[in-house]
Amino acid sequence: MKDLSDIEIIESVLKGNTADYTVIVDRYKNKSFTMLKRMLKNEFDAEEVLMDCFMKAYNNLGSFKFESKFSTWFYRIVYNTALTKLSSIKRKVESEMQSIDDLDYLESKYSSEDYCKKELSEIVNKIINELPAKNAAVITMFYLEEMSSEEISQVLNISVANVKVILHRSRNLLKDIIQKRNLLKEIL
Amino acid sequence: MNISDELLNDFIDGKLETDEVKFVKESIEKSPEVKSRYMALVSSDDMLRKLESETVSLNFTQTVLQKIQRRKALAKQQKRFLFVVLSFLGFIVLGIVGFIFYQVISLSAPESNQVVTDYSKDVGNYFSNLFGKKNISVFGSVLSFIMLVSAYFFYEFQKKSKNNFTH
Repeated sequence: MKDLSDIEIIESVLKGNTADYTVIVDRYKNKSFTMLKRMLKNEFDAEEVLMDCFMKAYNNLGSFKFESKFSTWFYRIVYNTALTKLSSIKRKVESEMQSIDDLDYLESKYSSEDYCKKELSEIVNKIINELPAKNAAVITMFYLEEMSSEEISQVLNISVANVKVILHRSRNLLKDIIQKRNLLKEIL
Repeated sequence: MNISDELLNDFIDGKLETDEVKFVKESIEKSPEVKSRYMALVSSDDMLRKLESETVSLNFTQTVLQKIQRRKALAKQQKRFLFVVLSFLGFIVLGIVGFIFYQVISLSAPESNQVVTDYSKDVGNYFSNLFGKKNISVFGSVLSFIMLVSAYFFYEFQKKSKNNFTH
């Protein structure tokens, strides 16, 4: 069963084999949890929202048109549910205030002396966890789920160019920190 | 040599045309500053690729399956409940219709030659009496009462089912 494609599993679930849905859950739970945790900045909320997402996806499997990938459809549910959660806990305002152009606060924070002694991988993790919701979602989908810019643009309902901008800004942020802290030799 | 970070990023993503690739490669080779920026970007990309995913709680999948099964059971219960309520209402309507016909038949004279005409007249009269000023309020009250009682039981049932689903 684990070798089957998403589409084959969904067809089986739609035929009434509810237990097969666990394969889909196992396949997506950790990556989508990572995305939600980075977006919501809270582990408990992330797990609660993820549960909600899997229930929503199950209840709406009948409306899934097999034209797009299941992952794109599922991540759209995850992203939109996370946004709803963010707006309900009033964090969305805070998140939206940090536009894609406004990552300087992270750069100056993590370039400072306070963080010089820390491991770079630790800093990268910290930075990713502090990124605005949309940036965190793009980074996770691109690097962890290995989705293309086109697929991400469908999930987020933004242009491919915008996805590219978000992606490059996040990469540039890390690049600036590496250069400012003279870490290139250390890495190489 | 002026090469933007955007161009370097596109180079890393493999989104450039052949002549642009050549230009960027030459710039990296010739300029230490461009090379430094390029290497830092490659390192950033590499670090982001190495980020590992987080793990949900161990029994997460089982919990999702249990929730789905509970929801399925709940949907079945709701269907059964609706069937019972609708059957009950159906029986009431059938009873009322039967009662009307019984009244009409008992009022009419079967020995008459114009039975069909009389029947239709009587049915017309009976309905105008039933929905006349006197009876309409009684009829409405009975129906409202039935609907209120059904709604109350439906609400209680939903509340109970929701509690079962949550716990």
